[in-house]
Amino acid sequence: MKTYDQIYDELLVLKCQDGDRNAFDELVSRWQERLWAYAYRLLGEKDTAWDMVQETWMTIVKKINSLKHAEAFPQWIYRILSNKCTDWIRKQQAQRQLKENIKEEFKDVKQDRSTQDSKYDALRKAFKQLSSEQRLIISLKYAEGFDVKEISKILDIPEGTVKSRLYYARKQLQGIMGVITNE
Amino acid sequence: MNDFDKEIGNALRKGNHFDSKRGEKLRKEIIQMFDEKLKKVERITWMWIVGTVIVAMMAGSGFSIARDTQGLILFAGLFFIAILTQVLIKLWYWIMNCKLSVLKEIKQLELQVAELKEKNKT
Repeated sequence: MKTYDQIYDELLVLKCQDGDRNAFDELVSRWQERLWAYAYRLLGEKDTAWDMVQETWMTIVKKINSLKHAEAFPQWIYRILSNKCTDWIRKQQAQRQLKENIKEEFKDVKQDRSTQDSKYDALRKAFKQLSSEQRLIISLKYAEGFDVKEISKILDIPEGTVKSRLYYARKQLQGIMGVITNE
Repeated sequence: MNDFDKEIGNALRKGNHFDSKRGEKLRKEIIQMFDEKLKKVERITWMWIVGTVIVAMMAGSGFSIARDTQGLILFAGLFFIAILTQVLIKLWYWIMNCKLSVLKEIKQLELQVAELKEKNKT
């Protein structure tokens, strides 16, 4: 069952396709922060996250009329942003070819393990150790709240692949967290 | 969802410090881009319509002064194509407008239903 917000977003998309400037303004206001937070989680750099969000909006401005079903807007917008972020991560990896040392990453985290905030901090750092595909899946599932079917549409991969990637990403995340808590 | 899943969600959602000033600046840029796109589409459409009218007028005048059959057929064909192109463009716009109007009406209705449901819940 669709929520009020989802239906309202769909209406805004239809109005945008009809050339309504105010509707587009509202759509940008409603989605801007969510998109930036998603990009920032994946990339870990504020400025780059802004660039990716800007590029995503540019693509949306160009192609919004080609979106056949307004219901698919959330999946569509996350797919565009995910692709842009993944491309950027791949380029960075090709340029640098370096791997960060997990233990070094967690030096400051281990000092104060008891509080909930430090646990979240550790989780965020563990999250950064995952591959770009795993980060995408974890972020879409747990932070953005999409289900397996929606993630498969966003990333354009079968549902089974989403489930297995989710399973292994979660397992790896648990493994990294285990390394910290055991030490 | 177990505790670890919830913790992942909470950890990822926290720690994002959104710069609203920068967001506002970007929003304005994007809206400007959207405006430019609309204007561009409008300009192209008008240019196309004016172009086809000019071609149709030229073909019409050419047809009236043509002396041989080949010329008559050529100008008549050109006139027909120019008028047909214009009609098709207008028809396409009309269909798109109708389609969007119907879809918007349906969404408005869905929105009202969702609103009523939320009111009933409370």
